[in-house]
Formats: sequence, structure tokens, C-alpha cells
Amino acid sequence: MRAYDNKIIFAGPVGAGKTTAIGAISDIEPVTTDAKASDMTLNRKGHTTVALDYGVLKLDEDTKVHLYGTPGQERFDFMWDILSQGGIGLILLLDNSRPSPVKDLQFFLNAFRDMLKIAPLVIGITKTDIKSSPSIETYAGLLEKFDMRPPIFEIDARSREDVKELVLALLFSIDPGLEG
Amino acid sequence: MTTSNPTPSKVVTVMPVGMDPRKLSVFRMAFRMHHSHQHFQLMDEAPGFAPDLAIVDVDSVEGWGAWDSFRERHPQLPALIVTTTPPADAPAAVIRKPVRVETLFPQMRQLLNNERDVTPPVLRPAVKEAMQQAAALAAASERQSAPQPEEDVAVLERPVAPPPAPKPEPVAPRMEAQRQQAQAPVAAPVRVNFERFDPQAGLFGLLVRLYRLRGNAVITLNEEPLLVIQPAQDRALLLQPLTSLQALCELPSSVFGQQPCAEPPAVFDSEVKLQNLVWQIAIWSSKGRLMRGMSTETPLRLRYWPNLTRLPPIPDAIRITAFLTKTPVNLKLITHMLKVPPESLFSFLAAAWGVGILDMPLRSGTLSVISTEPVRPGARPPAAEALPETPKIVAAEPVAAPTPAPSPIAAPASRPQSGLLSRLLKKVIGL
Repeated sequence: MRAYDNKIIFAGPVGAGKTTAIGAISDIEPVTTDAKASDMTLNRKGHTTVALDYGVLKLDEDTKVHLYGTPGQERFDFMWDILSQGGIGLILLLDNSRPSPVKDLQFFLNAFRDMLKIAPLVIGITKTDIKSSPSIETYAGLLEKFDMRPPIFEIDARSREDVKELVLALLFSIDPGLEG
Repeated sequence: MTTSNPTPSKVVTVMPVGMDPRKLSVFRMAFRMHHSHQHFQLMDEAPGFAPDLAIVDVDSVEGWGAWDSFRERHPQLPALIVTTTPPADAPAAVIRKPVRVETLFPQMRQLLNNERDVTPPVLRPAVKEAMQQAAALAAASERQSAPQPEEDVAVLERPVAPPPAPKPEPVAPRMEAQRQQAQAPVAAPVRVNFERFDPQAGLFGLLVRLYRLRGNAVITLNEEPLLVIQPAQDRALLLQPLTSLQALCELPSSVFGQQPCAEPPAVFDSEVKLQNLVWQIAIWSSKGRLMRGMSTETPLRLRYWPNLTRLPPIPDAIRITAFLTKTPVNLKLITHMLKVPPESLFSFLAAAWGVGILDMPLRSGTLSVISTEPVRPGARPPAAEALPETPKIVAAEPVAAPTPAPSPIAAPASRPQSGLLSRLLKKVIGL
């Protein structure tokens, strides 16, 4: 029997939109721990998440679903295991404008492999307006070879509707017959 | 049932549907007061007469269920819908309330003559002509089409809503229990026959063929360019407004043609993603009908998720996709499990087939269906450990492959926190 820890994990490389996506749906102003970037991250954004982002979906007075955004840099990967334990599912955001988003995909699937043995995965591709390739079909084709068929959507992390679709896909991936 | 074409002097018998006695009396009065060369009578005043047309009120407590049950019983009978809030995609001609006598009778006559009042957009003559042809074809199809042969009709389950609760009244406990029992949600689904359409025909059929050939091409309508497709770029250049294509989906294959595309046109109406266009044309062509060639036992599976955040919306698409990407299932199982309206399901299947992500073997059995029996709430499909092993994650592989997530149709007993997920779903939908 799997015990959920009432949390959804947002992962992905630096600049993919994790902080923004959490802010799009959270009931509270997201708690972020941004700091001035001091490494390679500086090339992509001035500030970056150095610990984690935190948001909440309040279901009632006593029940909350926590939204955690993992820091994007690999040197914080020790936190990913801790964060992902008991998660409802993983929302992986990939920045299509990065040099090799397919390698990013491979990296994060590997990093969260333990969680993905028992929890569903949803992939949001951001910044397709800047770079349209790889296409959704390319990602899907790669994953299909391994009999993986996760939802893969183009999204704008600023759009509440887009982020909602990711969460809905996550929930229906657990149970297509789920009723609200 | 037979309907006859009226002659000017013929008595026209009108079947009222979804009307309470008060509304009926209004129509009865209007009919009695109307004097012209053509006499109209309500069916309840003319026992023994077969109806020539129907007027369906969808504002009653039954709502659109009145239309659905009417259409099920009388699939060919011409009908007018009366409502205060006409929908954009009404399945028949609509009269907005309050109904005015000066529009009611002309519209009934028009319906009987199978003339549709279509206000065409400003279009080139060739397209105008084609759209008129489409309207005529649709009208002719209503007039001439015979009931579908049995083997061409899918019998599926349509989820039914519980009847509206009457106003509570003080009752004795036992009577209260009986009343609650009577009000309990209807468990047994209604069996409904569904229409089919030919996905190989018309604009949709041609568009899908060219989409799969992956070469640039011009689709013509009566030998005039209609749109240019560039599959490699996932691009379509429309030479007419997108909305005008909806009417063209009614036209037969014979009016469409194709030409090689050497140079894309310098001037066009709009540019859209080709996949989005195929998806949209599928919805317009299907109109909630099932693809010909697909039986209720055909195993279906989606190769991958469509890009639902950017494709024209279809109700329940996420839920249907989640089910169909997990395991091959047939129509019976999908409708039974998901309780989605068949029209949404059929439109989705047509769209998914159009963009090439629906695996639909010609021979049944190529894909093994998890079960053709309805899955009971307590049942659980193959457990995660029973699923075939996926390759281990190797750094050299292009994409890592973790073990698949648990199967989607988890039983409530196996989902200790399904209550949490349900509440989360409700919360997210309401955001």
C-alpha cells in the first residue's frame, strides 16, 4: 500500500519555469529561496533557486497538497531523493531552448528513477516559442521505445491553465476514472 | 416510421417534445390561430397521424435529454429546437424563445422543404457554391437516408444522470426511504445506437492521407486552391477562413483534389499548425459519430499523449488519453469505465486517428485487451510487478527508462487516498 505524502514535485533544469509554474497554481505566494546566480546559471538567469520553491494547494482547513520545486543545479541533487519520497507524482519541466533538452530528459529520469517506479510522470516543455525542436513527437518517440507514455505538453509556465493541465494529467495518469 | 413530404395543401402533424401542459397549450393556441394554405396540427389532437416534424423544447427539467431521447426514438424525423439559449453547435435548427408565430411557421415550412437557413461567410464563388452543395447534401441526407443497417450501428452504454430530485415534503420514515431509493442514481446505463462516418472520405480523408505522405501539397475545392499543407514543417496555409472549412467537411470526396505544391502562396488567410488543423477537421467531420470500421470490440491504444494544451479541446480528452495510453482497451470498456459521453469519445478517437497516434489493428486480437468484461470497482488490473520489465537505465542510452508507474485502473481498496486525489482533482478543476 502506497502512502502519499501530499506533495507534487516540480523538477527540471535551471530556467525551465519550475518557480513560475508553482506560482501559477499555488494558493499562497510561493516561498522561494532565490539568490543571485554565481555559476553557469548566470548565463541563463540572474537569480536562481538555491534550495527549493514551496507552494500549497489547500483542499480544506486541515488538508494541503504541497508543491515543491527542486533546485535545478545538479549539485543540489542530494535534495531530490529526500523531496521526492512519498510524492503524488513528478512534473518535469524541460526548457526547449537549452542546448540539449533530450539529455536533460535523460538526466532527470535517471535522477528520479526511484520515485518513478511508483509514481507517475508528466512532462511540460517550455519555451517552444523560442525553439520548437525537439518536438513533442520526438520526445514521445524516444520514450515510447521504452514503453513509457507519459503526458508531454507544450506549456507556458506563466499560464495557470497550462499548469492545471499538467496536474490534471498527473491525476488521471494515476486513475483515469477519478472523479472530483 | 415514415415521414411524408408535404404538399402545399397537406395537413402537417407536429410532435411536441419536452413540453409541459402549459407550453403545449400555447402551441395549440398558436396552431389554431394560424391560417394559411397549409394546416398545422399538434399530434395529440390528431390521433392516428404520423408526425411530419417535431418541436423539441430543451428548457424543461429534462433539458437536452429530451432531445437525446427524441432523436433516439426518431432518428430521421425533421425537428426544430426551441430554447432561450441556443448553443453554437445545435444539432438541428433552433428557434430562440420567445417563439414568434411569424417565424415559427415559416421555419417549419422551411424545415419540411429541407432548406436550411445558412448565412455563409464572405467567400469566393467556388467556395460559396461548395458550401451550398454541402447544405443541400446534408438536407438530402436527412430526407433520403434510410435507417443504418444493424451491423453499422454500435451499441454502447450512455451514462445517464439521475433524475432531478423533487421538492422534499414531510414524509414518514419508511416513505422517505422509498423516496430515496427511487431517487438513487440510475445504475443501469441506457443502450443507444450511434451513427458512423467514413474517415477515408471527404476533406478529412484527403487531409489525413496527405498528412501521412509527408509531402507538400495543395488541397483544392472544385479545382481552386483551398489550403496548402507542409507536413515537414507541421504547417498549413489556409486560403479561406478556418471557420469556413467546417461546412466543407460535409462535402463528398469528389469535389476535393490535390496538386503538388512547388511554391507556397505569397498571400493566404492564415497559418496554422497542421496537426491542429487535422485535429479540428476530425472533430468537425466526426460530429460525435463513430469511425466506420471500428467495432465495439476493436482493441485501441494511443501510442503517446497528444499535445492537449495546444490542440482544439475535446471534452474529457485527458481522461480518455490517460486510459488509452496505459493499455489496449475496447469501446465497451472505455465507456463503461470512464462514463464519458460517447460523442466526446468518438470525436477524440477520430482526431487521434487523424494525427496518427491511435493504434487500431485491422484484425481484432493483435492488441490484447485487458478485459472485455466491465471492471468492477474492487477489481485491479495487472499489478506493476506483472508488467513487462523495461530496460534498465544505462548512461549510454538516449533516454533513461524507469519502471512504469502503476496501472491506471487501481481499485479504491488499493488507493487509500483516492479521497485526497478526488479532492485535489476538484480543487484543480476549480482553479
